[in-house]
Amino acid sequence: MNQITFSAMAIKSLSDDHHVVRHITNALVDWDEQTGVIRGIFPQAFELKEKDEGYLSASWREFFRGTKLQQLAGIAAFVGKTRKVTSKQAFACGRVGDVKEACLEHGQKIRVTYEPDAEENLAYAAIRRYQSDNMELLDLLAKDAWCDVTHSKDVVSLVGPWPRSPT
Amino acid sequence: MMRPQAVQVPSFSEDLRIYTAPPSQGVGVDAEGAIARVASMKRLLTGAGHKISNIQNVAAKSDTIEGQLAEKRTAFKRVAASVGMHLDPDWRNRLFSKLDSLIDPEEWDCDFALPSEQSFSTFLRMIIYLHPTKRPGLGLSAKGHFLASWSNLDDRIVIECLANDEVRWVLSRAAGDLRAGRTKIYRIPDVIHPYEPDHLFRDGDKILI
Repeated sequence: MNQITFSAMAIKSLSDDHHVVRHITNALVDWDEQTGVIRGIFPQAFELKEKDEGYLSASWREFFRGTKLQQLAGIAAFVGKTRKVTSKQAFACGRVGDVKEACLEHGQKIRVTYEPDAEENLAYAAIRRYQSDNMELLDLLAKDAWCDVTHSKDVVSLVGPWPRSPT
Repeated sequence: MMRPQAVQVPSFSEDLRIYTAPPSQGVGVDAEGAIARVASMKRLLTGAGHKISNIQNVAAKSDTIEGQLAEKRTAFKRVAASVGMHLDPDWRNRLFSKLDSLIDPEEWDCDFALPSEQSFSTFLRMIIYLHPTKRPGLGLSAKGHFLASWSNLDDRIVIECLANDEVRWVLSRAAGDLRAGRTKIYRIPDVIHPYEPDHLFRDGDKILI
């Protein structure tokens, strides 16, 4: 798993066929209690919080090379610098073009930008011009555009030792 | 010129009056549904189901987040136990362990508000009222609201429980429907009725509550 070389910390729009990854905390994963399998993600996983300052945080998957799991493991390592990453969570992958299309269906022309943060997350991406007060849009993101969900235990097992807490 | 009439949203008491009116001579499926609904409403209006409607949010006293979460877990279990007669014992145990998992300090996201007692009361009263035979998936929003989901293949409804019996809901079906709204728990059957939601809440002959 190699980092793509980059020379400047410039903000740029991500290509429609690339992917953005949201780290989903345990409480927002819709678990099947009988099997422990992930049934989906709650729409509220895409709701803006006060601290989000009007944009949704994500990570750019193609910042890393390798298989999807390896890419997610790289992202988990970055996310783990500021958030608790454990084996009872999930990572939701969305194709940039699908996320934009879903938002456009609800009248939002969003921008998906790569905004590397040298200290915390070199793969950082932001969903800008996004508003999260529409439950239908949140559900569309959860069930469609961002529905490719990976159990964090499959990811963190590639990068030990876990769990990691923010330093 | 006639003044436009304001939209009238029936209140709980009006609903109750309508549904408690004596059935007509031609008692059929609709009347049976109404009778069942009256029974549900009475569970909300009397006894333990009614008592938990007055629950207020309580500020946690502990200095640490671990202590605060422990206080919340204890409070929610106490509330759930107080309506235990309305819950299947097996599901009640699972609910308790789900509360442990949702409010686990090891998993807790510090950006989340502490879970709300009023939201939990709405959740329990919704379960008592809807009496689903399928167990919901449970979650917590960053605002501290309890979330319930029922799925069947690609169809799903998610209900976010707010304070004072109010909910936000979103229902999606593989057929292409996607609808959302905000209502009181006793209006849920009416507002989602057009989307034939029975298969989401019912699981054969199983009994949940």
